[in-house]
Amino acid sequence: MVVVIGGGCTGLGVAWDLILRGVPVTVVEARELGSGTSGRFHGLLHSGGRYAVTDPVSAKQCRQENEVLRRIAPSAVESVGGYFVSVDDGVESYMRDWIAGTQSAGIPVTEVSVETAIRRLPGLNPRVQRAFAVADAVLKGFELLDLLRVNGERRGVTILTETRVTQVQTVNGQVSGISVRTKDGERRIPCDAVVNAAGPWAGQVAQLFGERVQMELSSGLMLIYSNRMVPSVVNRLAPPGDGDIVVPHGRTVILGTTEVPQVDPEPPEPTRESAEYLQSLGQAMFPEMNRWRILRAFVGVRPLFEGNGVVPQSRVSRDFTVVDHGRQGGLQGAFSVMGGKWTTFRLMGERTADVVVEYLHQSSPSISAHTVLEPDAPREKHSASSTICECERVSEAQLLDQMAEPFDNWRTRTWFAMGPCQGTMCAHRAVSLRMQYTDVEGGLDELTNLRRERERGVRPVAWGTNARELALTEALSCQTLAEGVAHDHLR
Amino acid sequence: MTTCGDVIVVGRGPAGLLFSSLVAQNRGSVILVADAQGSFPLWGGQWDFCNYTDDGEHVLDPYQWWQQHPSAWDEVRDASTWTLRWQHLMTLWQEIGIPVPDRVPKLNRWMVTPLGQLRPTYWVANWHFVMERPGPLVFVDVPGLVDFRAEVVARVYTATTGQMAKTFRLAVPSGWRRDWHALNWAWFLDSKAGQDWLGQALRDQVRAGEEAVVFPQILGVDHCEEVLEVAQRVLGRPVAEVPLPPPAVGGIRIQRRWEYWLRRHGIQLVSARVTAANRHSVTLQDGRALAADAVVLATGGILGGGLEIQPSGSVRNTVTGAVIGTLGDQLLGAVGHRNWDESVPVIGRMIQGWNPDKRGNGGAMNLWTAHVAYQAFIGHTALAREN
Repeated sequence: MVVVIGGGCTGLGVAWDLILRGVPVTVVEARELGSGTSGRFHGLLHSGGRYAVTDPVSAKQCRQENEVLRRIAPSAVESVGGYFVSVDDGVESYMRDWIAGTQSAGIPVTEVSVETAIRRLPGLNPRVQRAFAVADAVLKGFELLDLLRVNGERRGVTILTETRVTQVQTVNGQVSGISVRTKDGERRIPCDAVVNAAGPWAGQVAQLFGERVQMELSSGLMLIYSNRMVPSVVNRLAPPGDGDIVVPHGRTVILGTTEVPQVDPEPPEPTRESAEYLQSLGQAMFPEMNRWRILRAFVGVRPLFEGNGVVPQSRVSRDFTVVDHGRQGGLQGAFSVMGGKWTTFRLMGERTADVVVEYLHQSSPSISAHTVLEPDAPREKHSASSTICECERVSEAQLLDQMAEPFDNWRTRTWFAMGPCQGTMCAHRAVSLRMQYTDVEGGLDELTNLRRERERGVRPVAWGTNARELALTEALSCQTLAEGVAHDHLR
Repeated sequence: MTTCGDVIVVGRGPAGLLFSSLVAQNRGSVILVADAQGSFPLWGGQWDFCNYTDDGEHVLDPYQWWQQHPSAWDEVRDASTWTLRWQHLMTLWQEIGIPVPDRVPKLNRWMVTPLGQLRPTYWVANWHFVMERPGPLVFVDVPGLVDFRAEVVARVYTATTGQMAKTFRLAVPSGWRRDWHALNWAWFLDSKAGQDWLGQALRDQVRAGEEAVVFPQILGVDHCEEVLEVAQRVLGRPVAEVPLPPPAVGGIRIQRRWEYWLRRHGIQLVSARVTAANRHSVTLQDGRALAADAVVLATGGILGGGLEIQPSGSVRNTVTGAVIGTLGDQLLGAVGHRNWDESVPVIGRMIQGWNPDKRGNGGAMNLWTAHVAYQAFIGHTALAREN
């Protein structure tokens, strides 16, 4: 039996590949599925074009995996297409390298006329010089995580959330089990191998193996705008830098991103300065972007890894690395997978599983590239049910369906409080529905936590209409609902 | 340029209507310009005096609190000035037809929130449920009303106060739909048919007891006194309401009555967006310009749209274009002016330490700034006439 530590796309990808080969797997996640980097990305399913010059290995992997994911997870991929647009002077030589790079990585590119680009991408900078269409798509991260969970569990993967690994047990230098802590206490899970797929926390998990791995973490800021202002992905055709991707996502668009080196695996709070900076870069592609209705900011941490030590941040490859600690003279049966991208999560799973099954003396090949992830049967529509969240049209019945989930999952599974009002009008409704089934104190705490969580992303981009929305949230929360006021003295 | 009026008031929230009323009561002429609905529909209609201390403890006696705390104006500490101003609001509302008691309250009282928690409040209309101290209550559950689950309200109320709380569920009238919100109920209950139906529906609920019956705020818009009268008669005990999140019926009731009264007193309401203003004139979006002896901005703070935050964090007056400062880490409701030093007088917005969200003093802020602006305005007019 194999234990995979980390319930993000990497961990679930490893577990999925292993279970398809007949290897029993348990996934152990300290929080909730996707609560790390996997739930905090811009949603771009790369065509590979972005890395055509700087990172040819990743470019090729992205191109291949893009095709694979469209095949095996069509319900989680939106084929919107993408464009690389050149809006800068003096990038001719980079453009030549880029065209050559895409050709050698086999990335299909079609040049379109400037007029066509401007027509297809309303608001595009009219100074655009050249435009190229590529096969970028949108990856619906939470949906794909859910597909991996549902399909994995269907085939026998055990998934333990809110379960933290505290220790790895060994017998004669070989992994024999792990100890975990849950809210119900400690317990031991026997296993033959452990895979560290903890993303930005991989360095900490490796310490449980008695190993030291050098992560090269960097954080990236993203801004969400509340309308689908562009129909396709738009990339700035220039050496990869900050603020050069716009991704339509559901009814929103996401502008990414920045790259700031950091040590802590926890994402830092977004700041107003960095948000203003990012938006000003986005305006190079869409000059009116500062008039778009902004919704919130969020930060993800790239779990990048450079095995050979420290290199300049921007040059750390988006490629991934699988380390077999036993082969390097360390603990037998301990593996770490580090680096990579959402787009290549399946390939990471396959390569990691290759090494693990070899260690287990098995020979079954990977079939994850050819196995379709089947969605759950669609739920019945609940027409005779009140609407709780008007922005995202979430009904009382949908919320009741997911009531057993922990609070954050309840939100990401139903999407309430995620629309333009960010829970201003529905947070207390959802919580009061939940309080019919939980204790009163717990419900009020959850409301406070939800407000705090939403505000963290809204406040750094509180400008224009969004600032009015936040002022309304504060006023309703403080005045109409008097949240967070203690009344013990009344008893 | 059209020369008219004594004063141009921009904005139709509580500060704008109160200032306009002061001018109208003294035979001045007012043009009230607003481009949207104003803030009344956001609120249940209570005017808070001072609810919380710096530490978040509730304030029992707001007069005493103001006496003990320095503010932008020394005068603000004078309890008798406050009393006079609240008394003015009382007689004004009575004249307008917004029902309030004949005496201004001495102390804060408790109101219940849509989640069943308590908060202090000072000035409310008679339909608004308040109590001096918690006692047993009956909460009414209204089908489809997701902002007020009586069962949860009752549980929280009991957990908070230790008092008994019962609930009963209202039936639904024919024609009711699940998506009815508070205003749909209120418009329905305004009708004779609605009141007849309510009387019948409550008759089935009559039981012995003396506890007050607390409804979510749905009991009519223009005819809420009649609806309350029906409920009280059938139930044989006091009935009042908990205000809900917007669109809030209580605020809408007040605004409709108040604006009707202002029109009857000859005030001209102009629906237009003001794009520029100085001390004596405003420019409207359609190019018109209006001039008067004075201009007063009651355009609200960030929520109301009178102030705007730029991506850089600088805060700008949306009418005059003046940059008044930079956003810190305060609540957005507390963003306002350090001093009352803008070229065009601003009322109903935060000045030095007023903080409706944290302190619960939004009503006092409207009351005080409207009166100060009015005193300045008549002083200025008298001076102009002497000269």
